[in-house]
Amino acid sequence: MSEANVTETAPPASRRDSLRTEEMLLNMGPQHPSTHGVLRLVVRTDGEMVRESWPQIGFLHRCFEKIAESLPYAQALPYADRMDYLGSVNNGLAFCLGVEKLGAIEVSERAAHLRVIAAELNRIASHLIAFGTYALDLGAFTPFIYGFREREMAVSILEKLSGGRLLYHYPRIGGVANDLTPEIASDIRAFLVQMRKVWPEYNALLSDNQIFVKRTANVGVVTREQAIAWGFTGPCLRASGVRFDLRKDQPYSLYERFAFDVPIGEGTKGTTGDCWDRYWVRMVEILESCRIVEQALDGIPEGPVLTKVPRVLKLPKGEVYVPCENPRGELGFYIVSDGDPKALRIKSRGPSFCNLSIVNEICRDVLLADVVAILGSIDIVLGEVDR
Amino acid sequence: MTRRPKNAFRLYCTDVWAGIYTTCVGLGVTIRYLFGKNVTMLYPEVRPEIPPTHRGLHALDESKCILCRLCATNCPVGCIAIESAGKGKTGMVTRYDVDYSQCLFCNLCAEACPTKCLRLTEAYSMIRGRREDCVLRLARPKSQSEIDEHMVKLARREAEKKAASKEAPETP
Amino acid sequence: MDDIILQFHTSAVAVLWPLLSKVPTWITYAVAYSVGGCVVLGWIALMAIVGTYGERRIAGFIQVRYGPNRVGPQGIFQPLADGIKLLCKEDTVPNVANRALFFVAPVLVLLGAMIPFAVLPFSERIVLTNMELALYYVLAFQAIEVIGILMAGWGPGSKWSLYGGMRLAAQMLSYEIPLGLCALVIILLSGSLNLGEIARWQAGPFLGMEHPWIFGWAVFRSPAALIAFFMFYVGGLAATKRAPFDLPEAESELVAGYHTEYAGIRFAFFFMAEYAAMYVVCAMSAILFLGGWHGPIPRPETAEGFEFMKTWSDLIQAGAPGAATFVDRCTLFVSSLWSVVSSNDGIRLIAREAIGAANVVGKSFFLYFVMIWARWTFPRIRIDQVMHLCLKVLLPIGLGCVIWAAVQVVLFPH
Repeated sequence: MSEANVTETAPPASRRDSLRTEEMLLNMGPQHPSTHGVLRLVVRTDGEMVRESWPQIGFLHRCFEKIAESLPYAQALPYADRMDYLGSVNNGLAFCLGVEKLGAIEVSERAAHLRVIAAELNRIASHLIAFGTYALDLGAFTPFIYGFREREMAVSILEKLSGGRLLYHYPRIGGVANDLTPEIASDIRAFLVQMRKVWPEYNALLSDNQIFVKRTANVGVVTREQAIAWGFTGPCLRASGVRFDLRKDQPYSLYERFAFDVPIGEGTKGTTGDCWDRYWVRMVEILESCRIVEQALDGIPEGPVLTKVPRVLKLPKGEVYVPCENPRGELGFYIVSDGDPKALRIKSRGPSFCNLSIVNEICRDVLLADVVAILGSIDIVLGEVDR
Repeated sequence: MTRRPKNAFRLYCTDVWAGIYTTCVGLGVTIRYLFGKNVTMLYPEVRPEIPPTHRGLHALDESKCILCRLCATNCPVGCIAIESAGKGKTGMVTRYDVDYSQCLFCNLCAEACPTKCLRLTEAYSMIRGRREDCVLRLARPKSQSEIDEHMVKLARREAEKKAASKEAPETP
Repeated sequence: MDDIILQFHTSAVAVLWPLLSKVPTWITYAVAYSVGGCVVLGWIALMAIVGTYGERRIAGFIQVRYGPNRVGPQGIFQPLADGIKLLCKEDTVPNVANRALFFVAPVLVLLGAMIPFAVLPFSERIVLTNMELALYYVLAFQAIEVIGILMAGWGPGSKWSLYGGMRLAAQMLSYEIPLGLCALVIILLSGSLNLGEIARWQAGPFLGMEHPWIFGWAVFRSPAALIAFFMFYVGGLAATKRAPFDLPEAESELVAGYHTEYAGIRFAFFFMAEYAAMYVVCAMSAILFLGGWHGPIPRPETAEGFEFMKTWSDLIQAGAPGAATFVDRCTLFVSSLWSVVSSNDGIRLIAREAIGAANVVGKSFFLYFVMIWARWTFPRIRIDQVMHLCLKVLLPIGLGCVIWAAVQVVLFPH
C-alpha cells in the first residue's frame, strides 16, 4: 500500500496485485510430527495454500547397499530387514528370493508356506500402522491405539515364530529360521478371528466418518496415467485403478496357489486415486491377507524348513532381480555376483522411495493440512527411502 | 466458477445428515470401549510372557566353548570380541565381550555355534546409563594367577603330549 | 451476591461496632469480591486439575489402556505433579521473539478465559455478579482471548505459531456469529439477558403445567432451542478449539500451533485457559439450555429464600448491645449464625443452593465429558471445512432457529 502512495505516476495496481500476499518458505521436518520419521519437506506457502513442496531425503541414510556389498549374503540379510522396518519379513524375503534364484537353491514347500504366512502377517501389521498413523496425521488418536492393539497380536505371533518383535530376520537363504508349532498356529487363527471382528469397527470409527471422508476424498488425486508414469507400485498404484499386484501377476513363493482378490480404488467417496482410495485399498488388503494366511495355514505340508546351504555361500557369476510385493509396493534387489562370497553390486528398488517422488506433483495448490493427508496416504517408511 | 449442480440442496442435506449420523456411530464405538476391559498391562508389576525363541541378551556356557570363533566371524557388525588362554577345546576364555551398541540381534552367532554354548536369551531389558556399559562381559572374570596357572597346565600337558609322541614312534 | 453482601455488611458492622464503627460499604464490597474472586480463581485451577486428570483418564479408558495411575491412588495427584513440573521448567524465550507480545499473550489469554466466571451462576444465589447484561458480557469478552492468541501467534516469531494464531483468530471470530445466534434464540424465548433470569424462566410454567419438570428446560420449550443447543455446543467446541476443531494447535500439522514456543508456566497459562474456557462453554450451555440449577424433578420452592440472612442479621442486631467484649461479640456472631443455619429455613436454603450448584456443575461436567469423548473419537477438520461448517451450515440453521423462536414468541407468548 505504501508503495502505491510513493509511486503515484505508476498505473494503479490491479486489484489482483494489491491483494497479492507474500509467500513463505516453511520447513516441515525433519523433526515434524507427521513426516513419518525424518523426511524434510520444504514447502512454499501462500497463507494456508501450499504452492510447492520439495521433499529432502537422506537423514536416515545408512549405506545399506554398500554394507551389503561388503558382507557375505547371509550376513547382509539382517540389513535388508532394516530397510523398511515395518515390512521386515517382506524385505528379507525379497533378498532371499534373489539370492536363491541366482544360486539355484531349493526351498521346501513348508518353508515357502511359512514365508507366506509370516509375510502376510507382517503386511497386516504394517497396514495397521499405516491405518493408525494416518488417523493420527488427521488428528484422531484413538484409531491409532486400536490399530496397535491388533498389531500387538500379530507382532507377538511373529515374535514366537522368529524371535524378534520388529526386525524378525525370519526368512533365511534356503528357508526360514524356525518351524511353526501348533501353539503358534492356534494363535494365528485367534488373531484372524479378532482381526475380522474389529475390522468393521475401524470403518465405523474412521473410514466412514464424515470428517475423515471430507479430509481425504478428492484430495491428492493421482490419475491412472500419473501413477504409472511416476512408477507408483503397491496399494498406491492399485488405488489409482491399476489392477497390478506382483503376488498375482508375477507370483513368487507359491502365491499362485492361494485365492485372493486384488482390491483397486474405485472412487467410492470421491475421485479414483484420491487419499481415501489409497487408504481403503490398504484396509481391504488386510482382509485379503487374512484370507491368504488362512489358506496357507490350512495347506501347510510337513517337511524341513531350512535347506542346507554351504557356510560360505558363493553364487555363480551373473545377475538377478526378483521383485516382491512389499506392503508399500514393489521391492526388489538387483544382485550382481562375480563368483565371490560377497556380491559385486547390490541395488535395491524400494517402493517408498519411488512413491515419494510424486509429492511435489500432487502437493501443489493444496492446503497445508492436505500435505499431511497426502503424505500419510502414500505411507512412506523413511528407513527405506534413505536406506 | 464451477457450475452449481442441479441437486445441490439435496447433496447439502445428505452431507449434513451423513455428518451427524457418522458422528454418532463413531461416538458409539468409543463409548463401548470406555466401559470395556483394558488390554494394556501394568508393566513393572505384571511382566509380559517372553517366548523362548526371543532374541535378547546373549548367554555363554564357557565350559562348552571350544574357541572356534565362528560366532565372531559370522557377526555382520563384528561386535563380539574374544580373548583366550590357549586354543581349541583346552583353551580358557578370558574375555568374551558383546558390544550391544552395535549388536543387531540377528542370531547368526548363536546359529553358527557348533557346540550350542552361545544363545540369545529372553532377557530384554538392556538399559544402560553409559556407553561403556553397553559392552557386556560374558566370560567369568579371571585373575592373572588363574590364567597363569592354566597356561602352566596347558604347557605341562603339551610337554606330556610331546613326550608321549616322542615315545610313540619308538614303540613299534 | 450483592444482597448477601449487604446483609453481611450490616451484621458484621453490628458485631464489630466499636472496632469498625464507620466501615463504609465499599470496603465490605471490596473484601467480599476479593474473597469471591479468589474462590472463582480456585475453581478455575480446580477445573484445570479435574480437566487434565479427567481428560487423560477417560482418554485412557477409551483407548483400552489405563491412563495416569501412578501418582497417588488411581493417579489423582498427576495434575499436581504436572503443575510442579511446569513451574520448575526453564522459561525459554526465542531470540527473535517480540518480547512484549510474547510475555503479555499468555496473561491475556488466561484473562479472557477467566472473565466469564464473574457472571457465571453456580446456583441461584452463588453468583459473583448478578449482571443484567450477563449473556452479552460473556459473548463480548470472549474476544479478549482472540487478541491474546494473535499476540501469541506473532510474538515468538515462529512460523508455526503464526499459522496457529491466524487459524484461531479466523475460527473464533467466525464462530462468535452462530454462538450469538443460538444465544439470541434463548434471549427471544426468555426475554432476558440475565443468566439468573434465564435459569428461573426455565422453571416457570409451561404448557399449562405449574412445575413443568424436565420439560421446563429451554431445549424442550421449543424445537428451535433444541437445535440451537446442539449448535451452541458445536460452536463452543470450535470457540474453545477442542477437537475436532483443534486445528489451531493441530499437533500433526502445526507442531503445537500458537503455543509452540512457550514453555513452563507460560504454557501452563494457555493450558489453564483452555480448560477454563471449556468449563465456561459447558456451564453456559447448561444454564441457557438445560435448565440451569433446576434439576429434572421440580423441588418445592421456598417463598422466602432470604429468610436466612434476615433472621441472622436480626438476631445479631438484637443481641449486639448486650455483648460487651469482642469475644462476646464473636460468640454471638457464631451462635446466631449457627442458630439460623440449623433452623428450618437456613437448612432448606443451604440444601437448595447446594442442590442447585450440584445441578449446574453436574450438567456442566457431563457436557465436559462429552467434549473429551468427542476429542478422542474424531479426526480433525480442515480450515476451509471449519469455515464451511460455520458459514454454510450453522449460520443458516441458526438464522432459521432465530426466526422460529421469534414466531413462537409472537404466536404463543407462553
